[in-house]
Amino acid sequence: MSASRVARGVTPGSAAISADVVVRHPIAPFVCVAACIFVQAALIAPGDVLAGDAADAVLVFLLLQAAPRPIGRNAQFSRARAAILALVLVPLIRVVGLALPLRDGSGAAGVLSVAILIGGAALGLAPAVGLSRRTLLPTGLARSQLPTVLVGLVLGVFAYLLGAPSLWSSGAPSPQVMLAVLAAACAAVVEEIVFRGVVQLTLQRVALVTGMLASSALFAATYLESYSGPLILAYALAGLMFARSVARTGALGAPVVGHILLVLGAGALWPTLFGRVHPSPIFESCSTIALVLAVAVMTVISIVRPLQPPSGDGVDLS
Amino acid sequence: MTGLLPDRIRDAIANTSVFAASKSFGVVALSLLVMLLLERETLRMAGFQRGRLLALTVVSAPLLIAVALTIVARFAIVIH
Repeated sequence: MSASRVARGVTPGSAAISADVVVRHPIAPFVCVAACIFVQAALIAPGDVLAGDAADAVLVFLLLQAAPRPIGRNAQFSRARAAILALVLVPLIRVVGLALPLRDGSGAAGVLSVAILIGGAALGLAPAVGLSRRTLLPTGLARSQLPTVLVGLVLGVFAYLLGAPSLWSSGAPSPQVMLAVLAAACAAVVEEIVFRGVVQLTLQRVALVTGMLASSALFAATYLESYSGPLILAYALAGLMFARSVARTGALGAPVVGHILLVLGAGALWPTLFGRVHPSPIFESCSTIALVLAVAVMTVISIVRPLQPPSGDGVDLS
Repeated sequence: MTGLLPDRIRDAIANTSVFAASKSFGVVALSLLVMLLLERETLRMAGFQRGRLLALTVVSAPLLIAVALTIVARFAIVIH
């Protein structure tokens, strides 16, 4: 392969050359989203963790090959490339989480390690996908964003009533409790930076509403590996609400605060104040129906009442 | 409960020794890391693709740390 070919943006290997053509189509990022969700739902969630890990590693490699440098000034191509590059973070979470030697450490230490590594990767990848790091860092909180924060608070109560697992075991010493709270808060921030920040903002550039819904579906899919259906639905609903907030304002402050209130409320605050609850099967069934309806209604509202896209941050995608 | 390290993944890690994990999940991460670093060096030697080099570096960094920690953990078990 000649140096001039590499200079034009074609990486070694026929896969990269064919991907160069495929990525020109705006549907390509959504095919990649579907592939990420398929690996989560078909391999890791049923328990084929090693197969899922290998599939995620292959996805990381293929997504990186499918996002070569754009040739010319095709804006749609640049957006699709950026969206595919942003999606690399999703399978990378699993590959890194499984590769870390976490067996003898606490769960909180593991979550904190993954959050730091993936958060750093997300912030590092931001310029390559046309986002400024300042866009991704939660700064202020406008009064108009308070409903999003309240959504996190209310869904935190709901998740607690549905029996969300506590962040620490009973009788844990203070340092362990502090570490668990810190890890949960960091994980919430990093999840927002990855899913609402890097992934959603880049997918929205390709297709506004579809991008928002795709990033929300991807966020919900990462919870498929948990054991409770109603809790997965509660997080899916939270993801949709937070995604609408980001689609409307382009700011991550409210979703970050809302997500922190959700996880700390469900796993720390309400269990400490009121003790553990064990939801009855009837309550779980009713909650599942209500949450399915709420997610469906939110999805329909998102489709029929599309929001204004956030303003660009002036970074050249090419 | 977090999507970064959900219950299923935690269980998989907790039920596997460091040696067994490094022979399965660790090999997957190491293989990916080697491929990405090879690609990065190829592109770096060609002298182009600044954005692409950045992407490869950013994706390689957490993998490199995870692999390094696994090697340290294995080494610590051996000398302990």
